[in-house]
Amino acid sequence: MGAGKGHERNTEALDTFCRMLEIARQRQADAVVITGNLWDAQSVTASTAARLVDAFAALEPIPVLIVPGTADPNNVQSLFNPKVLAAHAIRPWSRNVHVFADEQFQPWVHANWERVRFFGRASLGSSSSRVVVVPENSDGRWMNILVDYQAADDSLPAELAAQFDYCALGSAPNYTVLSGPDGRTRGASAGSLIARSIQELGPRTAVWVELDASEAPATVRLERLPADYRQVCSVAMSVNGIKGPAVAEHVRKMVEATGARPEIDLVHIRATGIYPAGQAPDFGEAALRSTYYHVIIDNLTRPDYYLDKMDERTTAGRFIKVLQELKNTADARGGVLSAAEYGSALTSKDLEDALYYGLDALNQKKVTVPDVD
Amino acid sequence: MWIERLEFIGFGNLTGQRIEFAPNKLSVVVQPNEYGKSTISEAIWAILYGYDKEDGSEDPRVVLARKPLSGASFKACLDLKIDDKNIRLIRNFNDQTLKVLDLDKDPSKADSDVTNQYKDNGGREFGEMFTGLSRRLFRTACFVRQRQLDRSPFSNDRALSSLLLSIADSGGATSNVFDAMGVLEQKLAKFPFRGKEFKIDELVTSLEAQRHRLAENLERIESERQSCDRDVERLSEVDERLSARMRVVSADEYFHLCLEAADLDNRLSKAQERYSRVCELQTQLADLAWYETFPIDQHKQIQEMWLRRQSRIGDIQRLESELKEKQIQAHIEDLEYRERTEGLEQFNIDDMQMISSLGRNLQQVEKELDEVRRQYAAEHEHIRKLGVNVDQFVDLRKSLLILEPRELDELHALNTMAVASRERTSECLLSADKAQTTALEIRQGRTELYNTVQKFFWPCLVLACLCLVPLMIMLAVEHRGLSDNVVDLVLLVYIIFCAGAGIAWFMASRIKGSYRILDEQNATADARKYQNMGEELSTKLLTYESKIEEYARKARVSSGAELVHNVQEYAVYAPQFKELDFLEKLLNNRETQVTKLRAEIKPYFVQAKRTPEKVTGDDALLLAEDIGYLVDAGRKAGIADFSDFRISQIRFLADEMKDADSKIHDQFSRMGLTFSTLEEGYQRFVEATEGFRRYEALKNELERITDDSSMDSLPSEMPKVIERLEAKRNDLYGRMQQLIASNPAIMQMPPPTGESTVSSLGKEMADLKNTVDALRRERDDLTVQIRAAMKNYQDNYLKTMQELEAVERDLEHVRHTRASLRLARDTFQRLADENHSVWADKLTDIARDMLKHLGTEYETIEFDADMHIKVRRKGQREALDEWQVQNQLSAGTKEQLHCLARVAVLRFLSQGKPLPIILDEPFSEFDDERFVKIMRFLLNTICTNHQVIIFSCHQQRHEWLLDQLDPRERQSIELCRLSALKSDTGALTRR
Repeated sequence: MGAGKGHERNTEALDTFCRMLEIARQRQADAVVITGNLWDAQSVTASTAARLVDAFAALEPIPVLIVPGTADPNNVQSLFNPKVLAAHAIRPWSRNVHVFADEQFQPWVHANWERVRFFGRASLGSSSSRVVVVPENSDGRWMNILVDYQAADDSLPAELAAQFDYCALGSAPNYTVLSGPDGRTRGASAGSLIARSIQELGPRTAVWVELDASEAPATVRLERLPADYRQVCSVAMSVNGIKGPAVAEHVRKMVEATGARPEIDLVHIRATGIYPAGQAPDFGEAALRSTYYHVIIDNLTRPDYYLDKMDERTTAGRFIKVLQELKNTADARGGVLSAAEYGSALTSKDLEDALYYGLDALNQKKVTVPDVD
Repeated sequence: MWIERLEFIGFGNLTGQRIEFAPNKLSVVVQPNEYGKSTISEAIWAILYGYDKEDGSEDPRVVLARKPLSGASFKACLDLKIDDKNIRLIRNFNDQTLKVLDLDKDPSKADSDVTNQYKDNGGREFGEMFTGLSRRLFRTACFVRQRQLDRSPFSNDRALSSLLLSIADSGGATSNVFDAMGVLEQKLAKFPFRGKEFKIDELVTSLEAQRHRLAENLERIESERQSCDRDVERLSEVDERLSARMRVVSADEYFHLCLEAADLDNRLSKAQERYSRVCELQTQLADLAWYETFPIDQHKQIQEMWLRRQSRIGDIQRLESELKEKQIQAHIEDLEYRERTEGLEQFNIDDMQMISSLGRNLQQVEKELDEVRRQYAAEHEHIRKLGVNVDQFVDLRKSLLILEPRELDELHALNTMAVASRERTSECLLSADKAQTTALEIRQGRTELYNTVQKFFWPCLVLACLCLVPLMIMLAVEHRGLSDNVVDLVLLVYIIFCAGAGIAWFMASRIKGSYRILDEQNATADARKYQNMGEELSTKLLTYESKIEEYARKARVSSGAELVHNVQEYAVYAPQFKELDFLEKLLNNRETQVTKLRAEIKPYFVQAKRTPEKVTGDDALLLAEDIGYLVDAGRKAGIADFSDFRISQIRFLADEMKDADSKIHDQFSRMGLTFSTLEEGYQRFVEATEGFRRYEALKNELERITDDSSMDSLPSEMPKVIERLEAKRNDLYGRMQQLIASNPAIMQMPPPTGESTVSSLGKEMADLKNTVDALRRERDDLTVQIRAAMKNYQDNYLKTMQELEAVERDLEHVRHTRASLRLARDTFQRLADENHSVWADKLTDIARDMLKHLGTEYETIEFDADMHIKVRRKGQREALDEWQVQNQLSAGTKEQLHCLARVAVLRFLSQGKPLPIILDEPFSEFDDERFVKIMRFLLNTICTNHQVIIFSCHQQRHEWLLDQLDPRERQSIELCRLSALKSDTGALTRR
């Protein structure tokens, strides 16, 4: 994605986030919880931070709880630091914003709901293991909510999560619901609000959580609020048995089958398989690019040189055998083969490329190397 | 491998035809043009390998060219002999299927179809399994097309070495490894990058330089960022120091202002106070102006006169009070007397003593009653604590208390006897039943035994009679013809039966008579005895129970059993209830006494018309006391004398007062006081005296204030002074509020240490302010630096990072591509060197071997690693290189050499599985002698190991050849031709 679209997507991301905050304000949410990675500390700009400060201030008195994550750790130079904000001539975080600052979980009691406690922590930049301590609640008077930038894993088994009335978790690329041993909903990860990579497929949503504590344990109702209006649609296809223009048509139909919306969605195509030597497939990339917002094609196809039919007494046959053996060795060694004479280690892909470059040169008398654009 | 036969159901222009090739003979198809020779040649590999897209035959036109025009099925068969196995391949080109038949098996049986044996071929084609060569290699090595031998091999554009290389490298493709390496080198030299071409090494160097530059930039930006982080920390530190300094400055200033404010407040307060006091004094003096002329010198005299008068008034009031008190006391006593003695007139002193005596007794008995009740309650509680439910036994105790102890003892005895009688009765009845059962059993036993003996008696008797008849007959005929043994046997049987019957009769009579009769009688007697005893005991038991029932009625219990149960149950707790029972009786006794005493006292109360609800000892004593009060009549006394004395005293004092009032009245009048009564006049006098004294004090104070030299202003100037001080004070407090607002903790901070004076504080503050200003400047500088660094970071970091990532990505791509290209090139190089050497050595060996049999003018043919050929004639020391071969030898010689080379390749590739060589119009450039020689070479050398099929259109030359050959050689040549298939399904028939 070029710089233009990148900037556009950044703006869309910020707009989407502010729109979610506006929905929270309109619905009179009791709290807004941000489970890590509000921004990327490496690339966030002061203007973005200023807009977020204003957006959070506009929510007052709704409390905004921020858990600094691995991408936006709460360190000295972080924009969570009021001094850094001041250095940027940005006004400080409004009073309704609470940024968890400790590496270990600390409680924060809701101002209006005095029986509701949020337990959150912050990433300070270095990795730290999650240690969840079940809060004392023998008289059952507290509603305890865990807020963390990390996703559900072995450090937060279902039994432990069930000790909290709700767990708001981060890190997961997609919307994930956390269930307790009894099958009741115990928490969720909203996933990324913005579609950024092929790991973040499908609709992007924020999560509206309603907790009914009239009975113990609290009943959780989740509602997904549509966030980013763009989606990433991914297609995996093989060119085996498809020839000529049919490839582009096949690709077009597969992309349409994913529900990709023209001019809106981002499309990723992973093409595999073999094609007749000398007849590289045309995926109709130009048409796709003109149709969809953004298109990426991972072309992993190879020409068909009948590798298994080559006579091993010929040089070509031995060439195929040698390089396939090298590739097998590399695969067995984790995909890498040391080769000092080539400047760096050879990967399996390098070896496979070498095989096909050689066969291209031998059979086609030309080698086609993808140009960098 | 030997091709034996070809059948064409439909292939090109051949339909319903076949051609056969004899074993171990050189097959020659000598036919004119358009006969189908090339079609037959193509059919061989087409049947073996099929048409495949690798050959470019996916083009429908290629396949269409071989599709039979006659409309016959596009199908052909090939019979092969491989390792003594006869195989038939039937290929249907329409549906691209191949069927493999084992011709050594019965074709009618299913097992002749061995197609499946060749299906699991590890991805290899059918043809490869039969020939051991790939499609391309088979076509290149085994087929020599028209004029290929004479034209191509040594022409400039296609040298033999190149042909051999292409076979050795790619199995006959149009290029060889050296060409491929050239392509790869070309790509390394002209590497496409962003629309341009670069030498890949230079491109890598350039990208590395770019990356290095960007990395340095990034490092610099990072460094600036780190510096910025330090600046942020420094800014925090400066801010903290500044805040601390500011707090100190503020605190000092605040303290200074506090001191000033205190001083100012003090001054203002004093000024305001003084001014206020002056105004107040002036007002008060104006109000008290009347007292200025008051005759204060007469004050003492009038005061004495007034005190004397007041003393007289006091005396009179005291006397009147005493008099009145005496009169009231007398009246009250009279009323009390009447009240206490009402209705007691008829009582005398004896009555009083009687009532008093009864009252005391009653009082004593009531005390005892209370004590007994307390003890009873304590005992009750004690029993309860022992675990006895007292309430449960209330009714039980009441009912048992009705019975006398003697009666209770008798009841206990009766119950014991009843229980014993009941048990003995049960035992007697049980014994009686048992004795009756025993008697019955004995009787039944006798009857059963008797019946058993009877059953034995009658058969013995009958059998004895039956034996008697033959015995009698035998004795009668004197057992003629019978042996003595038979007679003895019959006699013995008779005796046995007679004895049995006798014994049975004896036993039956004994059983009926005396057997166990005595036991039965004894048992019957026992039963009767126990029955009688049981009846007697039952009668006694009824008597006991009736007596117990009587006691039950007396104790008001529903049944005797309940009474017994109650007694037994109570007996368990009786020790605990013993004390309680005693106390209960004592309580009843005391209550009876109280009732009796109250009954005795009550008539006195009725007589005195006093009817208390419940007469107590205290009531009785009170009544006695009232009667005594009535009787004590002598204490009545008069107070008349006392009253008269007091009245005379009062009159004397009143006269004295009248004189004094007159004098005082005159004095007050002279002073100008207005009054209606003398008390009012005195009040006016006192007020005037106080007014005069207050006037004098105010006047003195005003003079003192006016004359105060410490004040720097006159009273008339004071309003302006106060106004000025207030304005200054407001300024000070305003500044202090500002300082508090900026630092609320300032109010709790301790004052500066040491002797703080306004001047010293001012100096310290100046120093502090300088420090603060310096810190502020540093903070501002840091803020600017940080902001600039942050902006620079935000503007450049991401951009540089993205550029660096792009360059690294490009570099990675180029490096990996270069490595791949180089690896391909180097691998080709290495494998080509190895493979060509192998091929060269093998081909040289094979050629040497062939030349031995060929008998040509050449002694050796050698191949080098580049597949260049060197030829040495016999008798010559120097070999001809390929250039010399090309340029010095005749076309026929070159064709012969080519043929040799191709055969050598074929032999090399055959590897123990001799492959056929199909020559399409070969040796066209040979002269007759060389033609004969090459044909003899083929016949004598090649055909011994390989099948050779020659297609030619030169019929006369081949006929001439046959004439040139000796008979053995002629027999080794077979002239083949097409013939018609026997039927349309000929391909499926056996030869």
